[in-house]
Amino acid sequence: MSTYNIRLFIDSQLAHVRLLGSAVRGIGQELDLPTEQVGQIELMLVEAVNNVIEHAYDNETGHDVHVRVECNPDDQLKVIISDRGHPIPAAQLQRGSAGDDALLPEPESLPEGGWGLGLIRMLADSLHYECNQDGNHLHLCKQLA
Amino acid sequence: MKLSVHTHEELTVLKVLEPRLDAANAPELRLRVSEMIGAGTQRLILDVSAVEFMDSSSLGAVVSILKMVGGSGDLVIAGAHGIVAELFKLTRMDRVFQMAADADSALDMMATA
Repeated sequence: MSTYNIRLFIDSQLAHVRLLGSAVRGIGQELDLPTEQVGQIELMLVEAVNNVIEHAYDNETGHDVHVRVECNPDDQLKVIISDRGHPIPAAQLQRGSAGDDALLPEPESLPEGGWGLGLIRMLADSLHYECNQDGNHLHLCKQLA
Repeated sequence: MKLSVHTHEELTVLKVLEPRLDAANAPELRLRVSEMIGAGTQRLILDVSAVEFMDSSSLGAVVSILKMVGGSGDLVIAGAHGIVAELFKLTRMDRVFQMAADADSALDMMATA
């Protein structure tokens, strides 16, 4: 089956993130991915884009958040989230690894936030982050097969 | 934000009629519930059976509601399914919240509490 390559971008506003979420959900449904995986991909993306707006851009509007979705329905789906804001601090990325919950706050402390990166790590099968002259790029991969 | 409110004696069932709870509408949910708590609601069932997607900012708002209800009140989350239920599990917040399969089970749970 062919590989699909979709590019989307929004302005850095939390109210606009649902447009990306709904778009990715629609792509997943169109490609007949299992409902459970579609939800996980949407959550992974929304958490990553919320983080870009809140931390990379300090909740400032007027900046672009780019999302590229590459999908081979027989193999894997990659989501690449790109921005030109503050990079994710290396110390945060080095804690924990894909699939574990080392970055999640303790539930008993009744946290009201701080789950984003931990959730992304749990939902993605692999994660790669790079910063170059074109900005910051978070590569998330979900195995579909 | 579309919400429906039903009261059963001292219990309030608040059903979220939005398909998404996220950073865009979580502050409004928090505000609307804080007004209800301010008006005297202490035992609350938050019915999310119509919610198809929830992110961690809206989970933060639900934790904030739990804190507002406090030790003297009661909060049960009803009808979480799909990625909404998974969000509670992944963050281990299913250990913190009382979770019921649906609003009727939540009413039974609260009646016996």
